[in-house]
Amino acid sequence: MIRWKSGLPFLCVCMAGSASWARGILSPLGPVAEAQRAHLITVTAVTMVAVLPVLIGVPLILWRYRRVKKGVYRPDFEYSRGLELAMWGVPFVLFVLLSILLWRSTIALDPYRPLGPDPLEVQVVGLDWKWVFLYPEQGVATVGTLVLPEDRPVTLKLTTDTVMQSFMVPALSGQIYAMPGMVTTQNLIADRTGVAEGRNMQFNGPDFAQQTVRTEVLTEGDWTDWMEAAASAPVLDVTSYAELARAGTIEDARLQFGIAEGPIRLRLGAPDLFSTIVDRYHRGQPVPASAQPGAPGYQPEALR
Amino acid sequence: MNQVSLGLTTAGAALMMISLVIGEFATGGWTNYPPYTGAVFSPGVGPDYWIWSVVIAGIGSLMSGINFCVTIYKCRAPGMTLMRMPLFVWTTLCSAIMLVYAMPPITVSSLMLALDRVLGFHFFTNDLGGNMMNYANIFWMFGHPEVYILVLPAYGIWSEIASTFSSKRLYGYSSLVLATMAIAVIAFTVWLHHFFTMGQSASVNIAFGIATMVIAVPTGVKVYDWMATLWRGRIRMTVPMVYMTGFFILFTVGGLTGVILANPSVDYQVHNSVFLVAHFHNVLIPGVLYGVLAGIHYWFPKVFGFRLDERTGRLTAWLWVIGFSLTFLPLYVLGLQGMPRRLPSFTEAAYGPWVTIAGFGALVILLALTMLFVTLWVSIRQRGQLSVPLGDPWDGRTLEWSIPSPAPAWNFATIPVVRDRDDFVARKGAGQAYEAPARYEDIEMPRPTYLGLTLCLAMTVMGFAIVWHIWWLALVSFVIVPASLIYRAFLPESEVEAVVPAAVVAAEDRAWRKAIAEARGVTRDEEDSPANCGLAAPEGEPA
Ligand code: HEM
Ligand SMILES: [Cu+2]
Repeated sequence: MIRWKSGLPFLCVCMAGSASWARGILSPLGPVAEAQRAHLITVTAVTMVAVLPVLIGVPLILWRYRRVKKGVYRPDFEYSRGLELAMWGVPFVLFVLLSILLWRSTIALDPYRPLGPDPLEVQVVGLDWKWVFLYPEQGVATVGTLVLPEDRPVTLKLTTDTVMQSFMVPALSGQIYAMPGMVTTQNLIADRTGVAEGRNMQFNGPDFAQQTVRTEVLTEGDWTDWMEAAASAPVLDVTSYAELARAGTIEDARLQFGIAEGPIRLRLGAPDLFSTIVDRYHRGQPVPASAQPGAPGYQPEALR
Repeated sequence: MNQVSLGLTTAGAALMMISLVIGEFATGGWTNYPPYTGAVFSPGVGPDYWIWSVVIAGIGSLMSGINFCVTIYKCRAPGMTLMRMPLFVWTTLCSAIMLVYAMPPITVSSLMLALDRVLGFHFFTNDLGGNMMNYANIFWMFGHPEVYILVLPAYGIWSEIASTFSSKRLYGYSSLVLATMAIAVIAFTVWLHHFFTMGQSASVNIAFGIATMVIAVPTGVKVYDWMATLWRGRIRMTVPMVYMTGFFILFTVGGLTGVILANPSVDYQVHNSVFLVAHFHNVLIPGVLYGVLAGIHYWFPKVFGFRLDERTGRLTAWLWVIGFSLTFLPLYVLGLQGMPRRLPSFTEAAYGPWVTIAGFGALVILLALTMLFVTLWVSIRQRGQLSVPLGDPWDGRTLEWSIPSPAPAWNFATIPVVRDRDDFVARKGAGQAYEAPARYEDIEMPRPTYLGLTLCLAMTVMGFAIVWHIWWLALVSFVIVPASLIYRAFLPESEVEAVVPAAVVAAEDRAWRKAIAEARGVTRDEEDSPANCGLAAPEGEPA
């Protein structure tokens, strides 16, 4: 029994995030994830008021009123006004308090709420089984790597060109679904440099496990240099996109672009690629399986 | 109707089993989300098996729901007012009502998906205005109520066990009924919490987040009521009570993480992660599975006439508690570390230790499962010593304990008149527990029938035929369903029902009463000994 009870303090220790296994929300790189972690701790603490009486009271009662002890015995006790009031009242008060906290944090951490002026827009396209990032202003595209400047608000616009996926870099913010023909939004800021892991959270087939995102936060200067280095990189245009969209992992993308190691950095040759991808599902005509990336019957020629 | 419901549920399960051998089963998780499961992305038969298992078993569940509602409303014994029903009956009633309202949505969403897949409709496809968000929406209108459909009957079992094994009236009966009803209603208003992350506005998330948190109030009240039931009782640590101890502690942790998940801002982080997996196993295993196992130990002697072995039973129960804790509590940490559900492999070193602990826990669960069968085996071998033919091994409180074990086919030789919530205790207190009835009457019983089996086979074949697009076979087997129902409707009364003559009932009942008159009542000290043959000596006088 000691084991279960130590489970919760133990969770709290994890949240403190001191050890090396602290990753994701446990070691945030930005204010959104930090606030989410804080909210998690607050909610846990408040709910303890309702939980602790059970965790402590049950073993006590079981011990104190075990049969062989022949303790006080009230076989007909079945109602007490005071007790009834406490049983309904305390949880209700907690509920009201928690609702207020929920309300405030949900508004504050709404993924659609911009986090400051002049955000950097990054367009995110989910493919089977890799993420493609488009930086339209910089004319850059990446596969499986998200590179962000420190301290600048970022607005991610997400869609997929296959089945539904869910994008998350837990050290920066929570997840949001990405769905074909639709655009969702996630705002975030990274306020210190570093590296974090992200991934697709929604199962989408055999190589689901490989659909990760290496996220790097660089200083403003380093970031600009990083982006400018794309000028001499292979190009991502409609033709190479059609090939990239075929079901495959980041490794397959490396082969396609001949980038053996390091980030897959590309020059964005089609500035409106993102809207092309989204609009393709709204032409009022059927989209055959051959033109749906990720489908077993997909033919890259059908996309071009 | 009972038999047909069981038949259809079995047909659904049979289809699932067939899929393991011929073809493949659902490839898209238990929620079967399109477009992944649509024809474009999953041309195989996996999603089809899923769809038809769910639809066929779903019709069975719906019929069970209707059957329970009608039976409970219409067929109660004289004096059994609603507020005198055992709590188990109340929770079963609420669960049954929920079934009736929750099954249609999933049948609809599954059939819409089937239309997409087979006939090329565009409800949930990527193109031509299809929208998978509608699927998630309709699916969870069933999906959330479903979790309470599972747990409510278990709540009823816990209520019976708490009062029986502390030899006390149930505390807060009206509160418990009210809380059950509240849960049944509110459970239909919270489904959106399964997709807080779909991109809707913050206000929608707030509304559903708060609605979700409301449920924690009646749930908490129930747990407190059971604690108050034990308080100042005479608690016996029998097998069901060991399970209940695990339930109290672990289920409360599950409730806590439920409240955490109800906060959209936290849910963004742990949705789709193994934190969520830990949450629902944390409520389902200690809440529902332990409840079922405890219930089996409790009512087994009533059904089969002998108790289950206590020693192995207790060991099994502890193994379940330890195995569960080792397996699922580490998943909370892994979930916070960002590990997704349904992940087939990983490279992150940080996951390693926790996954190892969980893997070890899974072995303990395997051991617990093995011990469960050992318990059964040991008990069957010693059934002579464990037998309780007189019917009341636990000093029971409700009327099922006032008849022999195993219960005769007709249950009660004469219909009892109910005067109290714990009617059997009241009778024992007044010394009227085993008063022989003045006269016996003929009892009408249904005859055995092949109807359920026929429908089960027909629907299994139909499902299989649709999955593999063998249309003629599907049609033939479908026609069998109305045909056999119509056939049965035209059978003469005598073929459907049999009459047990009063003399037969009387002979059996009198023999049992004679055995009771000659037997010695055992105290609770001897509960777990061969002396316990099912006649209880009342627990000590109130202090
Ligand atoms: C205190 C009461 C509870 C609250 C506040 C609560 C809250 C939640 C929330 C918010 C989710 C969605 C999480 C997500 O998808 O990100 C969830 C999932 C779930 N809950 Fe609970 N829950 C409670 C009790 C229960 C109980 C009693 C059961 C079952 C007996 C249960 C079974 C489940 C299941 C099966 C899922 C997940 C299904 C899936 O996505 O596959 N919950 N719960
Ligand atoms: Cu739910």
